[in-house]
Amino acid sequence: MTEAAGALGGLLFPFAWLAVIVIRFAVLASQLRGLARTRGRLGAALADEAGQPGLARARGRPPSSGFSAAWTRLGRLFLLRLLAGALAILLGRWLHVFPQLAGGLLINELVRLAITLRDSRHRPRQLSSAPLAPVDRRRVSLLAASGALELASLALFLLALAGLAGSWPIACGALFLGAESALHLTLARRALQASRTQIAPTS
Amino acid sequence: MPLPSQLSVLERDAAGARALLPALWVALVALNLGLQRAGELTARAGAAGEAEACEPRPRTRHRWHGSPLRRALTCSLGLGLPALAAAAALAERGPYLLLAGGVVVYELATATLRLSLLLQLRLFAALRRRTTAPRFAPVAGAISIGGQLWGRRLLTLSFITLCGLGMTGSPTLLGGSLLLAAAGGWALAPWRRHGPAMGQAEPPTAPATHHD
Repeated sequence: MTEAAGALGGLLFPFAWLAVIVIRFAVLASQLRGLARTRGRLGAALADEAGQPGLARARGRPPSSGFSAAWTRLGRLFLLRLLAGALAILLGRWLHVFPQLAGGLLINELVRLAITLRDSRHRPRQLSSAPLAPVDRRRVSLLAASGALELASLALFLLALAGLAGSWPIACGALFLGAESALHLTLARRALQASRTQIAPTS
Repeated sequence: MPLPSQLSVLERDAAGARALLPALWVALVALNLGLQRAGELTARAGAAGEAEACEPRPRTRHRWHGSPLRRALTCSLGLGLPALAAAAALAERGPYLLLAGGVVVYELATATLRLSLLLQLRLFAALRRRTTAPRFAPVAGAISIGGQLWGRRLLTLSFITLCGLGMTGSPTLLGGSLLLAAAGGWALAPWRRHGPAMGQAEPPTAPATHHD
């Protein structure tokens, strides 16, 4: 009975993981759409104020250049996560640790979904009013570094939960989250160093 | 895959849980107080007054006076001591783990939150010293345990614990998830009642999380 339930749970984990990843990227896409709409309105209003008729004609339409890059990046990230997850599942099957790795992927994605949903109410409106200056890029890098630190602490929390409940899938999820946090932190550090060279320090 | 019948050594060994969980709780309360103090000092050193200014508490009928450190201590003791006393009075393993394990998970979650906020504060403060880095008021505001960001983060941690419960069926995680949800709801309650009407419920910039 227990083994049958375990096997069923192991089979369900990849499908649940797929569902969660699709929901998370749908939320991110909806945020991006909202942001593009707000930016479009903001751009048109600024053009009206500045008396530029050429720009004012773009009223109501989102500026395409910056956002098409963001859409491409989002799509690329989605495919990358799908590919990495599929590879992890295959590796788990090969090494006979399939339920642990699939469960780890699921809990990792659930943590990311929780953070995305928590931040979804604030982000578009606040980023929409920020100017697109070099300082903005540094701000994004700073927030990314800060988010990576939060992921690292959540990985610690998951590891402690795994210890308390004696669960290998949660421990695998903590490892995935820790690895992701290290990757984000490295990328953010590089971006910060690059932006720091562009901006002179204040006295 | 671990199932309810295959719980951890701690949960199977009732005597071990009885001895270990209260000791773990005391250690975590001490860790929490240390992290809270360090966070307050960092926020004060980085930007005087920002921690209080960015998240003004709305007026409530039951105002809770005192420093954030005292509030943190009152919260930990007020929640933990009755739960541990009730757990000690119960002979059965399940309710004991639900209560004693629950407060341990709660302390663990709040320690994680404080550690995360402390690290973020230090990052922002270090960069601000060198250049014109953005204000870190939102993170500083979350240090206050009655704050809106604090409540939302607690609810996130409750959701994560609930996911762990779904995977393991552990009574410890059930207790922790319930306590975290209750604490998060309690922290958000004044904001739900008064925040939007006052027009100051939201911090000036986004919470410090931005990655894909």
